Order: sequence, then C-alpha cells, then structure tokens
Amino acid sequence: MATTRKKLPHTILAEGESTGHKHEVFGAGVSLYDDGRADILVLDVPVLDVPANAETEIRHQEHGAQPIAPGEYDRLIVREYDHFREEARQVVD
Amino acid sequence: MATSTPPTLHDWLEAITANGSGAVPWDEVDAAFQAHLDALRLPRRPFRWIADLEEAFYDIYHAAWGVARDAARDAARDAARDAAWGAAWDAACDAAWDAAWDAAWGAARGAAWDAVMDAARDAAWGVAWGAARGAAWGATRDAARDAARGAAWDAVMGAARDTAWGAARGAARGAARGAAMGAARGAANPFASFLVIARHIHVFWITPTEIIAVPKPHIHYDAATGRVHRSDGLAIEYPSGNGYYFFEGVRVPERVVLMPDQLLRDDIARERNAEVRRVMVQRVGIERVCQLFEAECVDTQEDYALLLLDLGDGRKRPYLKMRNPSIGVYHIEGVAPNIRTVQAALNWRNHLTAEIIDDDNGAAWQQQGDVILRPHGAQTFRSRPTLLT
Repeated sequence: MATTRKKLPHTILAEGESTGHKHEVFGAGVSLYDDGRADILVLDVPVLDVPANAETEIRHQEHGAQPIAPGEYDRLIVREYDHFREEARQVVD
Repeated sequence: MATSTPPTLHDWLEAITANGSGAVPWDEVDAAFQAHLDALRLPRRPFRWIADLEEAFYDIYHAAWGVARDAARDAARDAARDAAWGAAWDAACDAAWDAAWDAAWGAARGAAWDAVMDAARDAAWGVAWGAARGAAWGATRDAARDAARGAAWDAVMGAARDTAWGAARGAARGAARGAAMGAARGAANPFASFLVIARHIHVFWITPTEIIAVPKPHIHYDAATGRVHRSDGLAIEYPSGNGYYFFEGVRVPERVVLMPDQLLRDDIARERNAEVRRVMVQRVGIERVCQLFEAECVDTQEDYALLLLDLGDGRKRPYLKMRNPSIGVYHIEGVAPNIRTVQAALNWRNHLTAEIIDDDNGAAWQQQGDVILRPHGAQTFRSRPTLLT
C-alpha cells in the first residue's frame, strides 16, 4: 500500500509520561518518518548517509543502549490488555 | 542586585542548580526583577510570589486568558481602523481625481471658448473654427502637460522625502545603537541581577500588570542513581507544603510512597500507566501481589510467568509477570483473555501472530523496553528479539 511519508523534526521513538524518559535514536543521517499509519512510524536509516564507522543507536535513561544497523525499520510499541475496559492498548509508561 | 564583578559561568551554574531551601529573600528577588526590567527599559510592575507550581498555574492561566482576550480585541480594532483608513483614502483619491478632471476640463473649455470668441471676432467662420480647434487642442495639451509635470514633481518630492527620512532614521538608529553599545560597554552587566532570580526562583511569568514567581522546591534525589526519589515523603517539596511524590524517578500517587500496605487489588489492576503499576508492584512486593489477586501460575518461561489473576468480579484473567532486564524489578501486564502460555502472551504483546512467525528464516528484530524495531517491509519475523534491553 503506497503511503505518504512525513519527516518528523525529531528522532524520539517514545516518551514516558510518568518519568519524562524517552527512547531516542542518535546517529548521523538518521531520520524518523510518520508514514500515515496510526501506530507505526518508520525509522529510516539511509545506508548511503551512514558512514561505515558511524555509530547509530537507540538510547534510554534506564534501558541499555542498542546499536541499529543501516536500514529501514517499523517502530511499534508493545501492547497490553485492560481487562476492566476490555480493550487492548499501547503500553504507556 | 548590581555587582561590580560580572558573574562567571560557574556562578550561573551554581545558581541554576541550587536546590530550594525554603528561605527566599523576596525583597532581593523583587529588586532583581525590577532591575532587570530597568535594564530592558520596560516599566516596573508589582511583584507577587506564589508558594507552589500548581497554584501558580491556575493564576497564570487566568492572566494568559486576559492577555489573549486583549490581543484579540486590539487586533479587531486595528483591522477596523485599517479598513476605515483604506476606505477614506480611496474616497479622497476619487474626489481629488474628479476635482482635477473638472478643473482641467473647465480650463480647457474656457480657453477654447475665449479662443473661439477672439477668432470669430477677427476672422471668417471657417477660419475661426480652425483656430478654435487649434487653440482648444493647445490648451488641453498644456493643461495635461502641467498636470503631468505636477504629478511627476510630487512623486519626485515624495521619493526624495522618503529617502531623506529613511537615511535620517537609519543614521539616528545607528547613532543611538552606537551610543547604547558604548554605554553598555562602560557599565557593569545590567543582567547580573538575574543571578538572584536563577538562584531562588523555579519559574516566573512577566505579565502586562505584574510579575508572578514560584520559589524553587526542595528536590530529593536518590544518591546512587541521581533519580528524583523519596520513600518517606514528598520528593519535590514547595515551601507551601505541597509537592509531588516520586519513587525512583516515577511520579506516583501519595499512597504508593506513604501507604503501600493499603494499596488494594483494584488500585494495581486499574492503574493505566505501566511504570506507576510497576512501582506499585515493587512497593507491595510481587509475592503479596500474587496473594492479593489469588494468582494461579499457568506457564513459565525464563523470567516470565503467565498468571491468572482473580479480578474480584468473578473473572480470572491472564497477566504476564516479567522482570525488567535493565532495572531488575518485576511488573505485570494484562494480555488478551484467551492466552494461556508465556510464548503466546509474548507474541500477542509484541504484535506477532502465528502467520508471521518464522524462527528459521524470519527477520531479526530488536526491543528496548516498550519499543520494538522491526525491519520495514519484512513479511516474517523471529518469535523473540535478537536484542532486548
């Protein structure tokens, strides 16, 4: 399905409500796009824009940093089920 | 506060990072705000302090509403004035044009008539008519030339005047700027007074009618992690006695910090924020949580367990008990009602279905806390992340 991508002015993948912490991507040439789907963002790491020795990683105040290989990724947030509301929702922290 | 020695970067850092002590020299802070306004050549205004952020928020909300209302009113007035000015200008232009036309036409007609009269008196009718026509044309041409010359002259004058005004204004502005720079260089830093504000004030607003300031709260940190934290009281304390409870960096309700023993099954199960729920479980203890919910463990896998919890309304529903690999504490999250194994719970939680799981040829993916990164465009995936932190 063709989608229109809109480049976002940041590379924050998720932000905590109660902690103010955030999952953020750092690296040369990294861009984050909203491709129009409600809960999926595309992390676009253009191969040509990332030098071979550049370090691209996702960081968070509490979780260990992770390297990200060049490529394009879908960002999803894990979900949980609220048995009182009888609905699934993205985990909010 | 005017200082003879300009504050250093260290002075600013010390002021900004100073914790609130509860004892604020309000007169000194007031004087610093007024000195700052003086330095900006803005009118002084009354100073008022409010003891905590929440109370100040409501005050400033009302003040902001007043400012927005006034701005809207001014904008409407300006628009009306501009419209009226435009209409008046158009009317004036039309009137001037009509008057000029009437005058020119009258002059030309009068001149022609005079010429005709003179010619008629001195010559035969045919000769008179030719002369009259020639005179009329000449007069009309002269009148038009004069009018054009006048308009051109006005335009030249207007342009010259505008140029002169622009040059004079530029020169005046340059001179003023030069004088101001010279004065500033010769004086102590007029913004040094702001150091007092940085040391004692948390937030402030300068409204058209007053200055509203909130003193710095006293903030408690966990010495080991540096996170905002206090296990026996407010972690952020304002002089008013109000503030906020934080446990290991997570803002939580008062009961979670002061009375965790009184947390009920519903408090935990109905909490929508996963981090707050995690702290609740941590404060209550995972074993007691299992007791509260009469938990029945139906499957385990590594650090995971699938529990059926009694929600107290006759329903037993599945929750995934898991250990945060980064901070080593347990928490629980609900999963879809039909799930009975840990792997099924993980699949559901991670947006994986049986159709897209391929542990041999599926794409590798990674997970950091609640965030999952999957290769864009891949059709199948491994059932577990290759990186999990």
